[in-house]
Amino acid sequence: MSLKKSWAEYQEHFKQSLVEVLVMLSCAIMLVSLAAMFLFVGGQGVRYFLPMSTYQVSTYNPGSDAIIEYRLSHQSAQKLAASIEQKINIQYGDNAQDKPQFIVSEANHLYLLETRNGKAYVGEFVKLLSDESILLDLSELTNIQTLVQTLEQSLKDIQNEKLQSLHRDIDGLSRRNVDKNTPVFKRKLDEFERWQGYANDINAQIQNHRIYLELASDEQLSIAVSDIQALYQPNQLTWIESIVFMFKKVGTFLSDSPKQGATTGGVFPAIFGTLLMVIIMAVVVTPFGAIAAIYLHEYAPKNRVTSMIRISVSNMAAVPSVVYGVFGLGFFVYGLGGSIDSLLYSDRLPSPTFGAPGLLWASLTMGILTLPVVIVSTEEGLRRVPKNLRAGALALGATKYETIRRVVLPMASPGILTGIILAIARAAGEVAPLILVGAVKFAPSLPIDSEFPFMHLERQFMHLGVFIYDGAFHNQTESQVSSLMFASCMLLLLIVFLLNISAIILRNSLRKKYERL
Amino acid sequence: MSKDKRRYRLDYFFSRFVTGFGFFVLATFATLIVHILLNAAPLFQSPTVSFTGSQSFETKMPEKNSSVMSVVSKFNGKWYVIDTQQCQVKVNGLFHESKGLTPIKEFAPNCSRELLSYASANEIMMLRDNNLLEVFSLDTDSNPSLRLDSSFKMSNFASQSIPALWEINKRQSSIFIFMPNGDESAYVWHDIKSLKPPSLFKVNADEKVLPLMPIAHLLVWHSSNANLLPAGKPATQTIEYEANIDQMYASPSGLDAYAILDNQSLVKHTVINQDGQFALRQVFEVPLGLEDTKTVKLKTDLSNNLLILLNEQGQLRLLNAITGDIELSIQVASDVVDFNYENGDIIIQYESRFSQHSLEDIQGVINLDMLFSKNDYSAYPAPAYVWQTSASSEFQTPKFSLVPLIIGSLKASILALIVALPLALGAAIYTAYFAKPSVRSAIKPSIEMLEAIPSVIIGFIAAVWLAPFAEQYLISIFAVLVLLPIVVICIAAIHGYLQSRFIHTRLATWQLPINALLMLLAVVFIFLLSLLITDWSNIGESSTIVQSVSNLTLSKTAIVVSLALGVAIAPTIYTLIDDALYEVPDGVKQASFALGATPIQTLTKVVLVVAFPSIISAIMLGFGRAFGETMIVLMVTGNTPIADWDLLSGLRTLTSNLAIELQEAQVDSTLYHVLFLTAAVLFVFTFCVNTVAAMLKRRVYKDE
Repeated sequence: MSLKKSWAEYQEHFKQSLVEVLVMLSCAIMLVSLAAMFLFVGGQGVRYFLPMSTYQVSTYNPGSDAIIEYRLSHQSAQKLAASIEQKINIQYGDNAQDKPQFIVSEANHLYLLETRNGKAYVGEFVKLLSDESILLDLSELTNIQTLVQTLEQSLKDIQNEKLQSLHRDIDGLSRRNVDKNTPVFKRKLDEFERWQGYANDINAQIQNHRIYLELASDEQLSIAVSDIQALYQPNQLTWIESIVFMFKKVGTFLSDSPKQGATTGGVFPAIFGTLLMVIIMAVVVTPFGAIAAIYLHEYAPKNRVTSMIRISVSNMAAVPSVVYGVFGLGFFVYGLGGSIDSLLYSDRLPSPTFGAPGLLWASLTMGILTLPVVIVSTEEGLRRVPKNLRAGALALGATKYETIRRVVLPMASPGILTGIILAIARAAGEVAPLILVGAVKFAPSLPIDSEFPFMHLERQFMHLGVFIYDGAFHNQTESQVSSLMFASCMLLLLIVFLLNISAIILRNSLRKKYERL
Repeated sequence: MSKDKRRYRLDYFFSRFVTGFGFFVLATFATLIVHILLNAAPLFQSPTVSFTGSQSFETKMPEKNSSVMSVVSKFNGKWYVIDTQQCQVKVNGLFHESKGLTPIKEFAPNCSRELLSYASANEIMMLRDNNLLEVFSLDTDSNPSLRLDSSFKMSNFASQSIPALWEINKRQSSIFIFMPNGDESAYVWHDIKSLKPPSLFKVNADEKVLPLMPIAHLLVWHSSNANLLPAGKPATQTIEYEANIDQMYASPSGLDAYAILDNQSLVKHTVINQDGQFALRQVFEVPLGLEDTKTVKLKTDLSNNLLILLNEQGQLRLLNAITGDIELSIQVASDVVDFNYENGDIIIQYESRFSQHSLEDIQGVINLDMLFSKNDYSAYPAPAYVWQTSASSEFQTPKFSLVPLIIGSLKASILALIVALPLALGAAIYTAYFAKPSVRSAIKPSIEMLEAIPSVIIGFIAAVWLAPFAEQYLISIFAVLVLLPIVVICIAAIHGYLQSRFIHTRLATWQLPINALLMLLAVVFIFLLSLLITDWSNIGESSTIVQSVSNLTLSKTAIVVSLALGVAIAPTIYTLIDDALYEVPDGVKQASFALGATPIQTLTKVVLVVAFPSIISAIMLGFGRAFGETMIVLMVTGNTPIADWDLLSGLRTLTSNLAIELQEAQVDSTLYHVLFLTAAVLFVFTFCVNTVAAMLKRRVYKDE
């Protein structure tokens, strides 16, 4: 009897443990997937900033000479060898006798040359050619670079100050059908030719400073010093140099534009585009959202219209984001933009100005998308302001406006701020509506530049999320996706997280503040 | 006093101002709905022919003799009349109603025999008296010009016969000419590129020939029979019609053949591939309700799924080319000579004038039935659900069946729910019921962080890592899944033991990490073990089960999508369920415990029951979120619109379809309106889900 009872007890006990473990594990799976995502994106993204090592891979095909290759890799020599081995095994399969042998060795003497347009060359340093003399010493490179820089500056000066204005004059003359033989025209042409000659000379001088590298294929590569972005021996970096390298790389990542088919360079245009869109959006959505929330919480009577407004807000929060994109394209771009075009830019039609997807429409679309976020958050902030404070203010003779303005709003302002931060986080991570209303994978120019009227809201822009989406959509496996994409992922994740955490902290501090009241 | 007045006025204005903003929200929401619905609305209208914008061109027609033909064509949005007469090609424009025909250009190529002919749009064929056949194409830019395309010698051309019908297919570089003659008709089927002289095939005098150019077959028809055959070869199929054939037409794609029987009904056949041989399958037969007069012409508009038919009495019929429904039947002036149709514009030619009409609301041809039920598309062996809008050439019919997209959306979101629900429910039960408040306050924000991860990043990880990973280590993943229950039972035993021993120590706070670590270790162990085993032995090749598993291709399938989507929506469901469970009053739980119920009994019989409506509402909201999620499905699936529920096939959802196709859709095209309809479907769906979820939640509050 007692044995039976203890068996039943044991069964019950085990049942409870099982349930507890099951619910715990489902919780753990979610936490682990969160951590895994972070580690994966972080680990892959950080790689972009680490210096790579140079390796020499010599492959011996049976019955032919060795083929030497220089490789750049984040991995150690053994791991690189293993991955090459794997590739060869897949390629050759059972065909064992044709399988090539290979040796991977660290090549410490090799230089890595990164050009301005994002290409990277690995090779042995041969010589440095300056004008007519050959300088073998690399330590001269910095001197030559300063020299080239001054040359480039003077070239730029000539182009900006002389050639540009002359070109404009000549263009004006020829447009007015002035005969080419008139003295004015002739003088201008002569002058233009003279300066053009100077410019060509300087350009030739710049091109005369060259560096020579010997590539793995015994080929000699000559690159103008002016094209060099960086030249260093990756395997001989000290740890301080490595850290400096990493910081420099972070700097390029944040300030450069993507190069070589979005494999190197940086994501500055995407960051800039995201930022500008988010700012315009916040400027639009904040007053609307905050004042609408004030209406709902402070003024709205309890009737059917108010409940309809509330239903609108909760439904707007649930509408799939791509539907906002559809609305933005139909209403803003084709509707509003189309009418603006036909009213103000009819001379440029049929090529659209505002009637095409662009920054302004994207910002407005995201503004509507994030409107419920701001409203809900602001209302939450207003709700936390104790009722008796309002009553006190009103009892002292303040009007309702004064109560809200002087008492309620200052206390609820963290709520509004939370709303804006959450809206920004949402807009920074949202992609689906943006690909419909103006975000593109590559925009030739920034929305702000020196050209009048300086801010081009009708332009298409780059967005971090869209950049990532495009990178994944066109390269489907991990090995093909460049580490730049992972680095961008990491950046986006970081931005969204910092924004969310600051919103949480703000909200918690708000709660604590009013618990005391 | 005046200061107070100002204050009160300010107060009043502020209240008006704020109210305005409140109503602005309502207005925004209303604009959103109305705009989307308005853009979907044209699909529900039936097409009409507008006569208001119609123009009538009174012209004196050029004198005609038997060999002269004229054709009306539309280039760059304007109508032109091309007359070919006596070795001359005259291009006239129909620009102004008052002016009639405006001469544009005349061409007079060298020729001495009055034998000229025209082709459908802008090709002109000319037979020289030395039996040289030349094909010109007419460029009608700002300055029209005639360009020689090809020429070849027709050595055995019957010199008396005049071509009645000819067609040229540039892609297959073949030309077809039909020449009816008194006792014996003949046709030519010729490869332009070949150097051999064109071959002439004879048919009976009462037979007529219709070319199906793209499949290099012909339809030879007389009385009530039509034979399908390759040029010069015996018939491969004979179609018996129920009545006499008056006229047969082929669609520009050459994949459909239309026969008009007794001027009363229209029969459509479509070409299918039957065991490697082309055959015709009947699609529909519709009565046209026309008077018994000669049919002038049948024109097909493939890009709008439209058939336009006009008889000499001026009875015009617009038919849906797929279902055969008559969309519109109207009467225009009688004694019609000819008509032409080009992208929504109809021009009708009478004895001495032209009249032009435009077709409004062509999108209305696509009705709800076509969007939601199986359609009998041309060249398909059976009616099917197809979404295929990339009508790259004008010869392709866009196919707008929303069923594959809806199935894709439902498939992805239901699977995602199956993945997410156990996770979310389990985690919520843990944090809201079992865990200590301190543990809950640590875990809940973390899971909410998971909710904040942009879906593009989850999609990115799933696309570049999860899909290839699942593909590569399929067997190991399978092994982990099979052995997982055993692992869970073992961990439960360890957990039970530890808890009975250390329940009052600090170890109790670390239950979750300990269990998680145990499971992680077990999973990694099983994973590596299965890898080693498959590496060492040749299990992968011998065992049929393992082989069939490893033959599966997981990448870009519904399963991978469901995992990624499940992870994305689980935090949403978790947060809502956690709140619901946490809100269950403590008193209820205490009462249950006081009655001697175990924690498990309290959970299943009390807490879950009380929170049930909220849990259902949470699940619905999660489902709504999965249904509306765009980026993950866009990046992880192959975006193939397939209408089946197979877990191992790709899918395309309503949302990702919008992201892919809306940018390329022309404003006010049928596709544009159909896409807005899908947006409306999404909108209405989430609206319903949201409303029902809100009602369920409100019920709980009422009960309390």
